[in-house]
Amino acid sequence: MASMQMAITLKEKQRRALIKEIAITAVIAVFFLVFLSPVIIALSGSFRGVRDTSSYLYLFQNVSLESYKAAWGKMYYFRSLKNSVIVTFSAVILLLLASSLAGYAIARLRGKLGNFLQVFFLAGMIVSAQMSIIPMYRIVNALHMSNSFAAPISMYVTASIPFSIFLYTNFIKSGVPYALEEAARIDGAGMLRIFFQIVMPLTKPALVSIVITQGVPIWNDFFFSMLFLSAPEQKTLPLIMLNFIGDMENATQWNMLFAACFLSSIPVIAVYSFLQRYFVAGLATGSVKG
Amino acid sequence: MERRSRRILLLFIVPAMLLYLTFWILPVLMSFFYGLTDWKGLGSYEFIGLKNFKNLIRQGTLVNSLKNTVVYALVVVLWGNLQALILSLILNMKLHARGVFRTLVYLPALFSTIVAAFLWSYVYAPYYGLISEVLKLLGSTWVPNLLGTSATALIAVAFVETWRSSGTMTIIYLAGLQNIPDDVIEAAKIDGCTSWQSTRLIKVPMISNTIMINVMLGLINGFKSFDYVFALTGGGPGTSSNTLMYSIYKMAFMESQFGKAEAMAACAFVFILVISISVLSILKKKEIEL
Repeated sequence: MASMQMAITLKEKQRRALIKEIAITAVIAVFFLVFLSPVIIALSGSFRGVRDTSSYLYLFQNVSLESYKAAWGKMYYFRSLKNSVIVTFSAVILLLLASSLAGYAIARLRGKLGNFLQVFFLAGMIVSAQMSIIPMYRIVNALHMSNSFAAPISMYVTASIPFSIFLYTNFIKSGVPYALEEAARIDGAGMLRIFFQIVMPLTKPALVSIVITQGVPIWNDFFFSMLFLSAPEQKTLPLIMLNFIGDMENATQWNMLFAACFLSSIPVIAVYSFLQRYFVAGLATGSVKG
Repeated sequence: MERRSRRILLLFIVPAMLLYLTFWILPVLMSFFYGLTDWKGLGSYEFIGLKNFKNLIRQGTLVNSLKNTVVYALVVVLWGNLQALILSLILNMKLHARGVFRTLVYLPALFSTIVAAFLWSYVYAPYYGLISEVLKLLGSTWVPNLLGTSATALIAVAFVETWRSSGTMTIIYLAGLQNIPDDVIEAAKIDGCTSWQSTRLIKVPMISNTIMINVMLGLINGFKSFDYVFALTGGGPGTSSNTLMYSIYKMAFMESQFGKAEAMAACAFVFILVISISVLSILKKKEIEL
């Protein structure tokens, strides 16, 4: 008797849990529908003819690729994509090298100097590029770097250095045992070899975190490229998007604008869909350990 | 040996240090210097002492931009964190659709700021924009122009920032929540804690570290707000959505008042420094109490 009753209450419990889950799922689904409505509408809008000005609330009617074609041409898509790839990849690789070397050294420097350097680099977080654009501009000119990719690349690396070093130093301090390096040194390995062969492989999570937390914003940024790249054929994807800014005033240009938005976002969305777990892990390392 | 390896460690810091000093620290020092001059970008300039600062205060530019920046940062920190905390608590429940929701929540973070700005300028557009269309559908004749009204422009812009950064914040909170050991929550359940109680009394206090990180991230993003103001309102209507960084940019590039712009930058620097340090120390103290 008792066991039957227990079975019933267990079933009842499961039923309640199921109802609760359906209710919560429904509420969140509605939330996401509202939350992502700009994306949904824009996606539907991007698949309309260039001159289709009927209400955007009618989703995915008269699907056409006309707007994509128009946006594709206006964006010089492959050229801009290539520029974005060059700038972002160079910046991220240089950033990884510079910040991991420095971050490691700061973690291993004994005494006050290490602590001071960590704070000194971290303080750079409060500086914003807009605060000193004119001096930056002058320095870049003085170094004969203007109108070349070298200018935005150096700025992206530099702007990302404060957070990256902070993250890397903390990661080493909290997770990489010194004994390993000590042993390698007794075996006669040089500092550079110790770093690249022993330390770096152990810090993969920190490196992933730097790539995600700094690489995506670098890819998406338009400010430094706007400042330093004036030649049309050097424009990156986010920068070329500024060409559409005038179209916001013009109600008839929206379909093409939406298509351009998605064209410029496709690379990141594609990378995210393949490497989602790295994105999550990267953000988590950056925050929990950082 | 010890001294030699220390010297090599110092060499490891050199690349990052060179970049950091050349492109980050030197520009800041130079901008403090230009702030004391009447430089217009071309030709010679003279020292005018604190005149730029006096003008900024007398013309109300400084106070207005400071006020706008604080409002913007408050919206980003308060609404951004509230939204992300609630989302992460829900997405941390054992739902079947959890994986899908976790993917969706990060979607806005993949768009560049300029794309997010385009999407939302459609949402806010009067007459044919999403908000207007939905109101029309509901039978309202009210045509709001949120970006074109002084009272709402700034908040509307800040809201776009919370929309795009919500995914990052939520994932960071989720990482914090997953760091709470299961047995703590189990023990609370056995002791008769309701789920609201265990959320308020256990989960939230246990992720206070994560809250601190997200608050600091929100503050820094808020104080550096530039992209959305640049793309959505251009600081307008009037000066109602002029933030610190946008005012500096406008003064320097559109009005060629380089000296004045850099005086403003110096004020912004001091302001952000003071706020960051005080918020950090308040949060640190809180953490110890908890």
